Amino acid sequence: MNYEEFKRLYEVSEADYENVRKIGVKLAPAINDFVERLYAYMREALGYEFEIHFPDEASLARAQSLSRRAWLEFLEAKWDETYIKSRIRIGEVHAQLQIQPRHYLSSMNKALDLWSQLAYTLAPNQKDLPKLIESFWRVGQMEGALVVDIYSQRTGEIIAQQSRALTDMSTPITAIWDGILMLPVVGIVDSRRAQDIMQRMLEQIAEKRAIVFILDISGVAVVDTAVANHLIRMTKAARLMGSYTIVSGLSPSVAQTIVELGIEVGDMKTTGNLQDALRIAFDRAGVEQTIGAK
Amino acid sequence: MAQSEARVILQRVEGVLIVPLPDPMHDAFLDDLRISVLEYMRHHRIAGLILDLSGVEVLDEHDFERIRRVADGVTLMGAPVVLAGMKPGVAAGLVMLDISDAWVIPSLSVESAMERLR
Repeated sequence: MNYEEFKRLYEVSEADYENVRKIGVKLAPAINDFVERLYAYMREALGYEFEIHFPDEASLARAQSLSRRAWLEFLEAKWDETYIKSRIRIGEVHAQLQIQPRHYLSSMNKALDLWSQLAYTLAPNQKDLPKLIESFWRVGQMEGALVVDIYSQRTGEIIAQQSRALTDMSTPITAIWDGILMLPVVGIVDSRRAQDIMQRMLEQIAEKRAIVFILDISGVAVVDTAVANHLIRMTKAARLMGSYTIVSGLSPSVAQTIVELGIEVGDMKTTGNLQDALRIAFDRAGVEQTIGAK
Repeated sequence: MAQSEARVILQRVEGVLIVPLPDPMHDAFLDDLRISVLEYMRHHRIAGLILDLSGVEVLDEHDFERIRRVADGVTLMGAPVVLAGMKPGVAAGLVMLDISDAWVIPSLSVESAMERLR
């Protein structure tokens, strides 16, 4: 990501950093007082969620020490690698703890408010004090945007990861023999799921050089025209790649439905149970059957 | 005719002709292919023709129809035609187009197609 963009968006200049540094020197000694007041605010404002994020003294102390370090860095006001890295870390930690952006941003707002008050008490005679505080706010708000940006990015990555895991879990393709793959399909097959299944199925056929693919549908809740058409498509695509598909586990009621709906299954090979499918598969793959062979 | 177009190369291995299909595929290529293979078959006996699709990432209805014409011609002259190594994306795409593929003799790879034709 281009972090320089944040400086441009928030119109933060070198002079602003200069100003933050100037006032930062005066504010740094008050860091403990600041952190205490900030966390007092958060305890008040976040209510029970505060307890969730900081369940015990140790985790609270740890968070406070991290805050202390982050704010000391802020007061030093150096836009460098270390600073950006530490902000990325803050965003990641917030994403991991699932702290809501509104809580982070409101706390950030409170923090800037606290620093402004401290500035007026600690350095009442500072030259250009309103200007310095203005810079302080500008840099602070930019930092807030930076952290929230990273937060949302990480959250997006977590979601993408979960959906990948879900797809993998819902299509557990297993190699049960040399050249024979099997996929038990469980649950509801809608067109999105059918697309996922077909994609994974064809990829695996190409990768594992599957001569036979067994699609076991005994766990499919409903087989209607749409589902049957998806199955026919999968079978056809697999055939084009040179693989033979057997749809196993057709229950009597499913067979009945297919007949009643007048679905043309064409060349699709179907069997009532997995055992028959395996026998055909072994035959096709040239596996010698010594157990249960007739 | 554009210079970049792939030329037809007929490779004979143990009595089987193997032709890799290029990507992208031009009409001229498939026409050339049909003529070259049929001409070749006039003088030589072959056990079959393998069209190697493992390098083809995109294949539309039009290309597929042209390939069918090649296959039909060769089949008429008495040799089977095997489509080998079709990519998952191509297979899924063709199925979505809902075109007739009953004529296709498919194979996972050139290797397994060879085993079949020998």
